[in-house]
Amino acid sequence: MNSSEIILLQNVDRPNSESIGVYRESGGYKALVKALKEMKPGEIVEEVKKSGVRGRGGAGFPAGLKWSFVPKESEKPKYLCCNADEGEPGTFKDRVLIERDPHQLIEGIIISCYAIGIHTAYIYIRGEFVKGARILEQAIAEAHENGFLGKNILGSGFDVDLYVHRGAGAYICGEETALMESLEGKRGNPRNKPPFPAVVGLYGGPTVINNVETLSNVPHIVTKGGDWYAGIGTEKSTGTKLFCISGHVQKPGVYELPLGVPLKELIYNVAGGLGEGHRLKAVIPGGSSTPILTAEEAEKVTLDYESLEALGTALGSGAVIVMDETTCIVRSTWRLSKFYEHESCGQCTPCREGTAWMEKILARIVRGEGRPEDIDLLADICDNIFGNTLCPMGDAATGPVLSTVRKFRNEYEYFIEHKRSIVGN
Amino acid sequence: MPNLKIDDIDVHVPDGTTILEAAKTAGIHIPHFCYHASLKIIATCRVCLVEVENTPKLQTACSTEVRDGMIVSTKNPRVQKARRAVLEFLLINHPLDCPVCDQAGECDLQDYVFDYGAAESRYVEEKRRYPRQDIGSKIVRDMNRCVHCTRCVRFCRDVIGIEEYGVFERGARTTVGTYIDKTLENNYQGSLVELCPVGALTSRDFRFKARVWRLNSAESVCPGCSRGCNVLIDFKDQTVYRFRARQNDDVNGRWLCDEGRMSYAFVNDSNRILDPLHKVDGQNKQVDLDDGLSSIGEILRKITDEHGPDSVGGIASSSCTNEENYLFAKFFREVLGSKNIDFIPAGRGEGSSDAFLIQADKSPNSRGAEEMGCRGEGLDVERMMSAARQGKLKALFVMGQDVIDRFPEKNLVKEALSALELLVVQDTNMNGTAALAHFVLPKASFAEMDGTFTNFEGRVQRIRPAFRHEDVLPGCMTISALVRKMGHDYGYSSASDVFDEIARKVQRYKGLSYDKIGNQGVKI
Ligand SMILES: Cc1cc2nc3c(=O)[nH]c(=O)nc-3n(C[C@H](O)[C@H](O)[C@H](O)COP(=O)(O)O)c2cc1C
Ligand code: SF4
Ligand code: SF4
Ligand code: SF4
Repeated sequence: MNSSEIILLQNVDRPNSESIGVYRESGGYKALVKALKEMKPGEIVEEVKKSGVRGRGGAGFPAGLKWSFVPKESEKPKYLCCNADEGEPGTFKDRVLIERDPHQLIEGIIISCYAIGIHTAYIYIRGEFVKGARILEQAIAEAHENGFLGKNILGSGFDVDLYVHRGAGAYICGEETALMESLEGKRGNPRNKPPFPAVVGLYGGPTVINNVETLSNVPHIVTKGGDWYAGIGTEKSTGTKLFCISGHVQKPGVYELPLGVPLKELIYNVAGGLGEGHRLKAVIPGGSSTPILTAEEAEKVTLDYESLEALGTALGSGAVIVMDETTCIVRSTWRLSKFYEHESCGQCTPCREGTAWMEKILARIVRGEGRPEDIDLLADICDNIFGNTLCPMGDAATGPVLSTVRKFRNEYEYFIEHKRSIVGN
Repeated sequence: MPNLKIDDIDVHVPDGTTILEAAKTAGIHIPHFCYHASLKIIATCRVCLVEVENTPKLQTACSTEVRDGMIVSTKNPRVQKARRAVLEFLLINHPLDCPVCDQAGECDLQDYVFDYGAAESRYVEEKRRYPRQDIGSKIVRDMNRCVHCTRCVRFCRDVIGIEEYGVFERGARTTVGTYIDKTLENNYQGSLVELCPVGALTSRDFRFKARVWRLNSAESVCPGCSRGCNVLIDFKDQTVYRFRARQNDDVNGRWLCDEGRMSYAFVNDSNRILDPLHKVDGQNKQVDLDDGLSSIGEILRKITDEHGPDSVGGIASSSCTNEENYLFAKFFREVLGSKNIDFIPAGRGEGSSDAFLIQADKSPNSRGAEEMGCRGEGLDVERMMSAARQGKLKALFVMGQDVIDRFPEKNLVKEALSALELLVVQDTNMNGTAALAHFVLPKASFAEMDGTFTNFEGRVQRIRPAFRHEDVLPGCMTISALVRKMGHDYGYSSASDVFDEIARKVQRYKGLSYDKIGNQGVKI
């Protein structure tokens, strides 16, 4: 297979890759020139649709289709929000794109604004990414100086202003409607849908929200065409994807691979395999909320939207968490449940109460005070949360619990019966 | 107009109707906490989830608009499981000490759990305990009972536009309260209590005074200002326990101000006048109403015979009903032949007002008093006082008004009233003016009679008796009896008869009747 196509990470290892000079030396902002001078907005949307690129923030919604939901004419201003909140445990890919190639992202944002007819864009960046925010501010200033941002970009008559907004430390603000509330200066609670952001979004105007990685692909699609992009990966999962692999591997990190690559390839070849003498036990394939895979499943699956969905899990944000045989599934699930309990915004009942309840049960099991009926209770609480909440966070919180209860039930039973972990620590 | 089926019932409702409201028209109740017809829809409590055919996820009935051909189930096993689940989630941290909770009897949580919940709890963890927070003098907050519906927050923010109640923390630690330990200051806190579906916000005034199911309700109007907010008087025996807002979108929506909400207090006061009194040698003696009225009639007749009709005057009241004021004016004009009739609008220009409900005129019926002819062509109140001091005004009949209280120069007024040969005061409660009267007559309060008030916008609204005290009559019935003693008979047997005459004689009230006014009033 051909794993040599590097699109998004092609610049990141150059010295001073974050500066506009280095970016332009390697052809940066040529896509913007092409877009503004040679293409109509609608043609860009068409190319993005053709490329088949799907949202890289987790939900995998086709980007071109999302753009096409935005009304052409709107009384209220339209907005673009770049989602740089990157809060899903195990995910650290956007950070690389922001810190090491900010102009690729900015170019993608400007082209996207041009394609959708937007004049104001925001990058909503996770509060902890202080360095990333500083780099983006610097890069935006450079883009302004070079005439790529602001009024009358490159003499085209098209204007875009781009602002960086730092979050204040809530995972839920990465959810697109909570992000907009937060941007508006309110408490970051998700909004009930409909209306969808493409119709009523930021400040009530039609709004497109895309992930950093999604938008970073746009200049390349404009340069080389949607067909070129669609030729990479599988039929339904086109292009390359950044995978953040962490856990029990020799070389954790961010790798760019075409979609459809076997998970095995990523773990054993790209990331150097597990530690000497260790065996694979389980993999969380797409960020903490995606249901866990057993070693057996992980050895077989390929990394694309459809294959992972067929196994009842998801590609998510591309965060692959590898666990070897020393991992206590019960404890690791408890740890993840603490995360969701802590990050629930609390407005809707099943998520607010259910995540806390699950955490308490798991904590009790880990203390050695579990009861046999707790296992089915956990599964039933998951069932009572799943599908019943206002935003996808409720479902997300059930991912690790329900999948481990189903696939590693023996570990729960062992812990409850022996008051200690099956892995003996 | 979409047609849809809800639980196999055909429903036909206008576009834009939500499933929850559509179901209501078919008599199907869908439980809800965060939804409230007067507040922004947020769809967070999730207890209203229903199944819509061909939609994979359950939908919130409160926010989902109907579509033509929709098939909705509000009761199937899947919906029931989700509903039970939400109720269980709400109960796991709930104190469950319902017998000592003041919301008992009007708690949505208790009712829904009874209707849809599970009998036993699966929760064995420690319950959440929130720290106490004192949020002020009017309401008591018990965060442990809160279901996080944020009705209270949305009311403050979106309805009255005051940011003083908010949501803090997140997840299961979420609290709802005032900013940085401040106390609530708005004038509509009783509305928060009414909005709260559980016992998390209760009224300091009403707390633990009564079990609500032992109370009865009467539809009435708040007497607190000229807005005339529609209320339910909750009462037992001859005691009023509280007001609750009664919906009238043309007047008060579903809200009441706090002052108005408390304006029933005088009805229960120990200084109520319940017996006619006659002052003999400076001492008030109880008299029979019949005897009292006979004496009053004789003295009035004697005075007008000796000194002419201008020697008598009458002060009506902007707190009295149209029926009371109408007959009062008619009595003076037709029976006594005097044009010395006036009334004092309560607090006009003195009281506080706001852009929401509260009016500066702190009486319910200034407009009605005016329209019933209680501003005569003769002496006004001030001139009556000087005429009395000068010995020209010999007799004064005051209905429902503490005259002394309304003037800054109290001594001058007292002097004037003391100089009268006859001072008759008919009122609900003992006051400074009544203390000087030769005859004191009891008067039914708004809670004890039929009648109408006309609010500042000209809306005529009915009040209805919650209860009565024996021999305590509305002003119009007392006047009617007095007129009979003086040899005339108007033939009224009730306030409604008086109103029918108003509807014939007073131009702007032409054609009205109690039936037409109904419980929402009619704007004239
Ligand atoms: C709880 C929660 C957290 C999320 N956090 C992020 C995030 O940090 N970054 C992100 O891009 N998308 C996040 N999402 C997904 C966004 O809601 C949204 O789908 C995404 O930004 C859309 O961009 P895309 O279509 O380019 O992926 C989150 C979703 C949920 C439910
Ligand atoms: S599911 Fe959780 S995070 Fe999402 S709105 Fe409900 S409480 Fe908030
Ligand atoms: S205090 Fe009452 S009204 Fe306010 S959020 Fe809690 S339950 Fe709802
Ligand atoms: S606004 Fe006026 S009528 Fe309404 S409750 Fe307050 S005092 Fe009563």
